[in-house]
Amino acid sequence: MTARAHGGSPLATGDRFTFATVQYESGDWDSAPLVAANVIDAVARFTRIDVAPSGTVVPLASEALLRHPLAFLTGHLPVRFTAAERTMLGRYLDRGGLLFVDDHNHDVDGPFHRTCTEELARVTGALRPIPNTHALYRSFFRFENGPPNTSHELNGWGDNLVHEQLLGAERDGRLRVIYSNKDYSSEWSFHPENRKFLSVDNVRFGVNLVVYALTR
Amino acid sequence: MTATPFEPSPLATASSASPRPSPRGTLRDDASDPHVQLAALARLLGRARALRLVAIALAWALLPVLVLALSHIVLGVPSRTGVAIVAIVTGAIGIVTPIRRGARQRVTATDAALWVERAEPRLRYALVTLADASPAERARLEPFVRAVPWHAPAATIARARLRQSLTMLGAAVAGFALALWPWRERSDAGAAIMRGAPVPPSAIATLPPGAVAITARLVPPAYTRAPDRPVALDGGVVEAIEGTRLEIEGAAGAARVVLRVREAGDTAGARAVTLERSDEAWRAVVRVGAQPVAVLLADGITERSLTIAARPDSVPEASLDLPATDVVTRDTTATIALRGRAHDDIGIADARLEWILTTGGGEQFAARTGVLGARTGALDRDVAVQGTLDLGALGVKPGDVLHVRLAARDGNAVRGAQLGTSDTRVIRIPRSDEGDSVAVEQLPPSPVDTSVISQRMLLLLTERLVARQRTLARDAVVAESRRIGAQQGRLRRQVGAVIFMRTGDTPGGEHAHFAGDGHDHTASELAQLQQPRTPEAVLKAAERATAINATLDDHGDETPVVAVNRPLLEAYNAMWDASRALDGAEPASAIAPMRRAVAAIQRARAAERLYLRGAPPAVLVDIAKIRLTGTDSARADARTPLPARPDAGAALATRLDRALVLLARVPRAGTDSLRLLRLDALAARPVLARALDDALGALATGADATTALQRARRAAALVPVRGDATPLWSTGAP
Repeated sequence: MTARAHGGSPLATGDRFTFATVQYESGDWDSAPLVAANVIDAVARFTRIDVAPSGTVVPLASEALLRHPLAFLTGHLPVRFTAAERTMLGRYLDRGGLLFVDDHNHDVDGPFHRTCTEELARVTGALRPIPNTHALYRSFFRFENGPPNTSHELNGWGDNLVHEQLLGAERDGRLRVIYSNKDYSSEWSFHPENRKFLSVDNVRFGVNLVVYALTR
Repeated sequence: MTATPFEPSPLATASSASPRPSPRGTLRDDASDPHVQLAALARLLGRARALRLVAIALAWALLPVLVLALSHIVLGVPSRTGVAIVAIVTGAIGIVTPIRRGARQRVTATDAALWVERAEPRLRYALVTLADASPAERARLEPFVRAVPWHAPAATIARARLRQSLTMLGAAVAGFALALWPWRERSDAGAAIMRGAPVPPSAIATLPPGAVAITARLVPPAYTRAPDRPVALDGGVVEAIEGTRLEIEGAAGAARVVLRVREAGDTAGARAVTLERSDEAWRAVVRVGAQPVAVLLADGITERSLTIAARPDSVPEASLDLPATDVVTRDTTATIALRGRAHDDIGIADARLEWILTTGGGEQFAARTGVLGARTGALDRDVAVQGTLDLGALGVKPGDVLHVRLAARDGNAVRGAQLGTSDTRVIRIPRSDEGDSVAVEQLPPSPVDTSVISQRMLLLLTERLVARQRTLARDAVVAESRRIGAQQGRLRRQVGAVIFMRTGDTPGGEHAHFAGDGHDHTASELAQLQQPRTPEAVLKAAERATAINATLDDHGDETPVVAVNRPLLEAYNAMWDASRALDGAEPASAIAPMRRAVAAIQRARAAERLYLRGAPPAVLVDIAKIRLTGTDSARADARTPLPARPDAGAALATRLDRALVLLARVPRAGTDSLRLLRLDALAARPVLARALDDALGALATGADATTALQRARRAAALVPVRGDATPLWSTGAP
């Protein structure tokens, strides 16, 4: 099945999908401003999903978060949710939202990882490794070895580890939170026009995230 | 020597001193007429027989009462009116039948004579013959009868009969009294226990005969330091903190006691609890987990129950009073006071101020952590923590970021210590080249603070001027009013500048709009918003804002930026009114708008924190150009539908329907089903649980439970079901 063939699926109908970046009070939520454009580019390039040409920024404590099936959260600095942010995140996840978190430090001992996983655990319970056979890795493109690696991992940035698995929180067989230490925030932080220079286009994994959020 | 018939014997003569019937019917041996004596004896025996019949009647009446009580207490058959009527009729028949029989079989003189003849054979039936003889025959027989000493056996017979009848009567009365006197109370208690109604301790103390006496108490977890609490297994609901133990003890009856426990939502049903036995004494412990639990105790006579609603230990609440807002400072040697408070429903075991210092930039960040003012141990419910953050000692550098919060943990030994945290304050030390962004971050608090102070001063000046107005010359009033008006105008322009900067749609502005930004605006509104913002536009916005709403801070869905700017717009407009009044030398008219301006600025200061980092660059992707230009193959797995989540509401509604059917047929079983349903609804459907509570209470008191059960039905169903004949939308028009 080709991308075009799959692009004719019912995903092409319905409301326009807008990529949402989460704005939280602490930390540098806007540290990866080009991720949205790259994911949007990939979604448009490979699917018929009606996608907005630019992303939006949604305060985590805002009801506006509930309009978005997928929310992206990243940063380098410590993540400390306010009570309102914690409450809204719980509502969002309970209503079927999917939060994709990426550690911009790609460092399991870094301030973002330690604080963000603690905060997420307070909302969803402890995060657990997502098996590399999970439906997430087959929701559009097939990633046989689980999450695609990033050049930042392979080049030894951060904790000098290649993280084999993503972490996540599931409810009733559906992922609610996907947490990455792989630093897609850096990897997907190029201008979309430069995609043609990539040897491995791992932004395709972003398509899987979007399709998973919209269909599961 | 043999006595001849109807002749007095020597023996009879010798015993002539035997008792005689008295004139009132007692036997007297000196009475001359044996017939009269015989009649008296017959009356005496008749009374004894009547007493016996009364005793038998009482015994018959006692029988259905006992059957009714035992069936009610042991088998749980309800004591409804119909059953009670049957019992009363049976008892009445039992009373009437022997009385009627007794009336038919009255004791006659012949009967009395026969009993005497049996005891004294020497009479040789002369007494029987005398009883119904003619006067002539009586005269002939009397000498013979008088010669025989029959009075003593007759008296013995009468005494024996009377004693026997009185004994029977006494036994019957005693039995009836024993059965009837405490029975009502016991049966009420037993029935109430069956129904799950609250039973007073006095009634519990008088359990049905044979029921096992118990004591029960709730033992909270040790870390709560709460005392034990005695409870009764009275069918009610008690609340207990998670981890509490229910300890039940009995001094006897271990062999008959069966203790079962059922947790809410446990589909496997009730599980038996093993008793710790010591001879006849026994003890059982039930641990209360996170779910409500029902405890059922049966002892062969009664079945008692108790529902325990588990209450989780709440997470500590923490708040940071100082610093009250985020801090931006260039002083790397500053000291910052920290102060926070924590509260827990049981007690704070650990409270500390935590800080994280993050240094670096780009892809290189490092972090250090530390604590201040740590307080540990068994502390109070309310704890205050304070400390001082010495930036110099921490060695902070420009570009560093400090995150500070108060973290408090309780002493929960059941789930482990639970963490409660305050909101985090961010302390930024800007780099020297961060002037612009730092200025943006620092700007909002200062002008607003300055504005409110200045506005207050101007208000005070105006009020003083108004107070002195009558004592001043008109020219002085005009000059002073215009001087204040000029200052009011300058302040208004400053506030306008703040608003202009913060609502501008320039790339550096906070609230830029663009297509697809997710904001709720139409294309025409977007075009209008994208027009350059001028001071005149700001004024128009201020007028529009104040015209629509007198107070503008009641917008729950506003972004923080708007939440701050709207009051400032209102203040701007009020200042405009004040300036005009002051310039016109009417200071009294300026006071009201000046007060509105102060209040509006106060609201702006109290608004949510601002996001002042600016909007990220809006990169527009040309969707039409790149649509489906990708060449990689998608090989998605076929999607398998997720299993439908069980509809808990439907399941509860179905169970409720079954319980209602059961309630009509077998009330006890129906009540039990409702009680278990209430257990399962306690956590998931509190409204349903409350309705079932009311229904069970009504059933327990014999009141009409229809309304409560209807409420329960609605609460269980939740979603109304649309029939096929019902249109989706109807205007009601034909």
